[in-house]
Order: sequence, then C-alpha cells, then structure tokens
Amino acid sequence: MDRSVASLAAVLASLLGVGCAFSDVPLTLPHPTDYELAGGRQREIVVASPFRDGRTIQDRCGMQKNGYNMDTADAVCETDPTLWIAKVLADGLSRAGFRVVEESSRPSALRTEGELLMLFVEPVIGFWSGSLEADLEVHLRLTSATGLVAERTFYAKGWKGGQMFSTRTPFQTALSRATEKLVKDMVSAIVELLDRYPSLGRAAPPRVVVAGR
Amino acid sequence: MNRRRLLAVTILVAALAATSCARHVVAERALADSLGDRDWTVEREPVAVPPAPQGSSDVVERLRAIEALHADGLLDDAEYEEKRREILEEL
Repeated sequence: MDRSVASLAAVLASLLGVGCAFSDVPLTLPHPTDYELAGGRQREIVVASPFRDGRTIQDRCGMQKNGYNMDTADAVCETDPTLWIAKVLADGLSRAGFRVVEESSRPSALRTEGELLMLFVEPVIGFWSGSLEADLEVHLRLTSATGLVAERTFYAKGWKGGQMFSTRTPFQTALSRATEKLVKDMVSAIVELLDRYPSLGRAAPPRVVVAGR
Repeated sequence: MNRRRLLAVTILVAALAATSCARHVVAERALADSLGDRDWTVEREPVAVPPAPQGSSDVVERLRAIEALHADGLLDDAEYEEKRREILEEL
C-alpha cells in the first residue's frame, strides 16, 4: 500500500510539473532583415538614441507561466531595449533609402525621438489552447528646425502558437514578428509624413560656382 | 477496492493535467493588426525655407569671420570697417 501511495505521488508530481516552467527566459532582441521597405529617397534623418524608457515594467521583458496561468519566471532582455529599438528604427530607415545621420546642421533635416512604452512577451493560456504574445508600443516625435512637430504612437503584436512554451524559441519568434511589424509601420508612416512636406530632409541644391568671379 | 480507487484518482488527475497541457496544440494565428494611432498628430507644420541668394551665405560667413577676428583683437577698428565694406559691396 505504501508503495502504491508513493507511486501515485510520483505520478501526480510529474503530471503537475509538466505545465510548470521555473527558469528565466533570456530574450535576444531581434534585428529583422527579411522585409522590403522603400521611399526614403536619400532624405536625411536623425534618429536620437537611446529612446526614452516609458515602460511600466522595466525590470523584465516578459514572463513565463505555468499551465495554470501563473507567473513562474521572467523573460529577460539580454541587451538594453531602449538602444535596441532606436537601432531597429535607424536600420529600417536605412533599408528604405533614408540617409540616417547622427546629427545634422541642415534646417530641413528631420529629427526623430522616441519613447519605448511597452515591450512584453508572455504566454496567454486558454482552457484548450494558448499562444505566445509579444506586445510592442513606441511613441515617436518628429521635429525639424523649420518648425515641424509631429507625434504618433505605434503598437504591434506578434503571435506564436502551437509550441511548448518552456523553450526560448516561441518567445523569440513572437518578438521577431512584433518587431518586424512595428518597424514596417514606423518607417512607412515616416515616409508618408515626409511626402506631405517635400522640403523635409532634402539636401540643399548644389551651389553653382562661376569661374572668374 | 483501494487499488481501484487509486487507479480512478490517477486517471482523473492525468486527464486534468492533459487538459492543462492542451495549450501546446494550438493553430498558428495571423499577426495582429496595428492598434496604434491611425495618423500623425501634427502640432506644427514646417515653414518653407526660401533658397538662399547666390553667394549670400559666403557673405554672412565672411562677415562673421572678420567680426570674430575683430573681437579677438586681430583686426583693428579701421581694418575691420574696411573689410566689412569690401564684403558688403559684393552683394
């Protein structure tokens, strides 16, 4: 009888433990490159780095949960997310054909400042199913010496389902999808804004020097 | 009898555990639509900057240069006025 009770306890412990994940999940912040963007037309733009950190939760980038929807461990960013998001935007603008510079003396150059409002990856557990969800939210403020002040908030969600959540891979996949969507949205919106004001970001016409004068 | 009860309890717990793990078998979902702002909030529009007249920026730079030299004592008042006049005559 004692053996039966011990066996039952072992079976129970192993079954209940299946849904648990007590280890922290390290997150490598992704730099998506598998996307096409255009419209920069060599216009000059400054991306201030790092972005401000406006996240409500700053000590972790997500959470791990057990099968009962309980927070059991942290998802931890391996690098500073405020530097990362500025770099991701700058890379996206470069890929779209902008000339991204650190500083510019041109009055028409556009200056981009940002605030990271949310970066959180977590399993969302349903009764029969679940998924990994990554939420990203960024506020951009664009200014120019010629007087432009424009602001916009961007939000993107990345999903990954059908995986064991005790591994790192689905966390990374969800975050990569959210990042790709966010950078596409931000760059497309900046292109659209600059197209409204064609003087912004343009290089001055080359000066003509007349010989002998 | 006791063994039957133990078996029944074990089966029940296994079923419950399997239910909690069913989350692992979900279909892939499409990416969410963006929920951010629909458009930019433009607080101020940029003013159009007229193109500078030919050579005027040179004049400004040269005036600033001789002003700095004068302030540093490298040009006296007469030299400064003379140079200033020469530069302005080019306009």
